[in-house]
Amino acid sequence: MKSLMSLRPSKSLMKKKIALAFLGFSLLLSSNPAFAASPWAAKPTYAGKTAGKLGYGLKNSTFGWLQMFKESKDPKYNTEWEGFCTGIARSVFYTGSGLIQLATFPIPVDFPDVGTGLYFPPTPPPNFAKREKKH
Amino acid sequence: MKSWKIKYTILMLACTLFLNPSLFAAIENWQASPWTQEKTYVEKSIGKLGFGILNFATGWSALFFEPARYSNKFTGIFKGIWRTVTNEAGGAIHAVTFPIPIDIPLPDGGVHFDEEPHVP
Repeated sequence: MKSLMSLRPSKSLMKKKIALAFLGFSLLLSSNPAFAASPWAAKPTYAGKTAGKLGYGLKNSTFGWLQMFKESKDPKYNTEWEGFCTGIARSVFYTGSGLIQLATFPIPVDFPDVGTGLYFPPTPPPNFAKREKKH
Repeated sequence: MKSWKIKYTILMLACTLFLNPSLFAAIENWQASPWTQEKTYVEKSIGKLGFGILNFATGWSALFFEPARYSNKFTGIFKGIWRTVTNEAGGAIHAVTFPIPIDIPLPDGGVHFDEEPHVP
């Protein structure tokens, strides 16, 4: 019985393995130069970066789940189902990254870097054209 | 038959299939997953998880699509059952292993909703 117990990995070894896995995963998520950084990372000042990170975290953690509906309308997919399922995965990433960035907003380190995150292009109001004509 | 003989046979069969690509390809039409075309690690992970969810959630639809594609109903039903198994299992593997961007090709590239009907 003792010999069997000795074969089991100790708790400290398991902790080290988990920490190493987390470190490797963090490096993969943070040190990819080909990937676009979060939009707030371009801000020059500390206040701008933390405010941007806070806003990014709030937006993505609160509304990240909307990405699945947005992605289903993306014309790059053959069917809406393919876009919707990829959108579920993207929603998970956006919500997760939003929560982490929200929790760590005072530290201006861009982690996890999932790019621009949830983004809705600005659309003009429906009566924009009418108002333009009036002026 | 002893258990080690069964294990040895399975191991040899697996090695034969994996080490002989032509034999592996003759059994099924293995296709690379669409997410492999993505360039970054995050995009590949998102694509792999999404592909896994798609196949796991809708893999059962092959039970209805495949019989409609074949003129021989028995072939279609058998193919539908087999595709359901491969799509569901492949989808689960893709979804579980999404942080590891290594592709596991699925037969016919997994779930397709846009295929032409009536294959002879």
